[in-house]
Formats: sequence, structure tokens, C-alpha cells
Amino acid sequence: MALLFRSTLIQLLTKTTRPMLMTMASTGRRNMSSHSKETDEEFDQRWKAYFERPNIDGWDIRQGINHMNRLDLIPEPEIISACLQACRRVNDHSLAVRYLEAIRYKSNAVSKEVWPWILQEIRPTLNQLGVSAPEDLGYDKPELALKSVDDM
Amino acid sequence: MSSFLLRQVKLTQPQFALMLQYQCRVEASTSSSASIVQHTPVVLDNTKPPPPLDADRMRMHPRIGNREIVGYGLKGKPEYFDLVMFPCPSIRWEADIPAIAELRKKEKGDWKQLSVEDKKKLYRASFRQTFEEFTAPSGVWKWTMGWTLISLAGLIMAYDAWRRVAYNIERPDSFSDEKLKKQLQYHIAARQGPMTGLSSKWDYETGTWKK
Repeated sequence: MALLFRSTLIQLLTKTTRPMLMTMASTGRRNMSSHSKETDEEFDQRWKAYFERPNIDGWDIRQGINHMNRLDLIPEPEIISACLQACRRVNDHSLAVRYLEAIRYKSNAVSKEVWPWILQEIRPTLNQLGVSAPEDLGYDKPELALKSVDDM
Repeated sequence: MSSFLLRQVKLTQPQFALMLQYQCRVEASTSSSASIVQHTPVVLDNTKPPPPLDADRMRMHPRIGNREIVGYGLKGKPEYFDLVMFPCPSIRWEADIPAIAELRKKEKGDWKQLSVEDKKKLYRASFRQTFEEFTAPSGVWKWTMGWTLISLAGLIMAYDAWRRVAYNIERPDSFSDEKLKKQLQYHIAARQGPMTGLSSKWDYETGTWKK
């Protein structure tokens, strides 16, 4: 599922804790690309470990969010929960809302049923941390009508 | 400079770029009279020694003002952007005025204590537009279609005007009354439209129209 290129793989290896990728034997699944032979579980584990670092800072969270947004997938609810916990550690609520909005936008491009399911899966985390989903803030519809940047 | 005709064209000449840069600088220091408080440990207090300047701050803070640099962003430059592909820009949208600094302190505590307005204020302090807002349809297609049709009509009318002027169109003499009368006589004599058309209305015995 994850088509990761070598450079970004190396980037992430230098940031995450080591033992993830080296010792896992890939069980069964074959990838289309010849670059990475990583299963879905390894991918999830790696990203979870990335966001669960106790001393992560806002810079790395944003880097992780931007990078994962570029990949051709919607993150698992566990990865989303790990990222929200990381946002809690750096005390940035707007970043969490922004992340949820990005996932909502991406999942709506796939199907209308994905986002309610994701919300339902991460609802325990949202309730525990007190993060508002975009719908709770009224951000599922446009609020302000500002001029587009392309028109300035 | 938003012109009526060239709506989607961005003016990128150097003079305009300079104008826009100046405007950026003016707008970036959003709080004019209130004192500025940084979210990071750097507090702008002129009784203390100035903050350590790194290359980014030296180059960018005159452009972006006192907004906090929070991430890598698009290409490493501390610029703000709203993009679907990159949800997190590299700087916050607004500078930290004391009202926002208070909200940030509140943010360090339990998020359940934050009200919906607080959360919205915090969001707008970090971001300019929500995803729904910058992905909303712009309706430019109506403008495009309108101008396409108008210009098409204009071109056709211009072509017609040029034809009339250049070719000075005159009618041939077969449009004169005597010639048309002659033409009608010929049609009736040739029995054109005998069943339901022209000649069916002509009475051949009396030589007049049928009553």
C-alpha cells in the first residue's frame, strides 16, 4: 500500500527509533515497487512510533503530517490517534483540527462513507483529549469568504 | 490591481512584486499598538538582550513580521500557504498579540476547558482559511463563459460590419417591382405549385386570382 521512495525512507529512518525496519521479516505480501518490501503493519508501526516519541516537537509533527498527506493513502485510526496525542504534548489544538480537516478532505475524495467511519474510530481519542472535530467547530462548511490568493 | 478584463492573470512584473512585498511587510506586523509576545521562549523585550539571529530570522522577519516559524512548510521558506497537499504551513498566520498569548496559555491546560469560540480563535490565529474555504468553488466559470460568448458575438458583428463597409453590398436589379411582377407571371404561367401552392390560387379561365 505504501510506495515509499528511498530518500524519504532514509529521512524517516534518521528520525524514528531504529528497531522498526531492520529486523522485521516481511510476511507474505509482495509490493509492486522494488524499493520497499514493507507490509502494512510495519508501515503503521513505523508511523505510530514516529508520532509517539515523547519529546516530539511541533516541527516534526508538521513534517510528518505534510509527508503523510502526500502519500497515496488515508492513515489508520491508530496513526491519527498517535498524531493527536502528539499535538496534545506540544499544546497545539489548531494543528489537530487542521490535521483532521486534511484527512476529511482526502477521505471525501474517495467516498462519503470513509470520514464518518474514521470519526467513529477516533471518537474515544477525541473525547479523551478534548479535540473538536471540524464539524463541531462548524468548519465542514465555509465560514469566511476571503479573497482567494490567486485573485490578489 | 484587479482588472476587470484580465481577471485570472497574475501580474508578476518586478515593480508589482516589490509593491506586493511592501504590502506584505506592512500587513505582517498585524498588531500596531499592542506589545508583541512570542510563543517561543523568545520574548521581544528591550530590557533583555536581543534574540539570537539565525539566517531565517534575519531574512524573513522583516517580511513576515513577528509571526512564529513553526515548521518546514513547502520548501523550507517561512511563508504562509493554504494548500490541500500540504496542510501545515511553515508560519502561523497571525502574530502573537497578548490576547492570543492568553489563549495559548489556556491551551496548555485541559482542552475541554476551551470553548468553541476559543478554539475558533486559536485556529484563525494559526491559519487563514479552513479547508472548506480554500477548496470552495470560485464560480469563475460563469465569468469565463460570459466573456467567451460576448467576444464571440462581438467578433461576428464586427465581421458583418466589415463586410458591409468593405463590399458595399448592393441589391441586384431583380429585386425591383416590375421585375418581381414579371417573375410572378412566369411562375403562374409555368404552373408552379399547382395543387396546394401558388398556381392553385390563380383562376386560369378568368385570368385573376381565385376568390
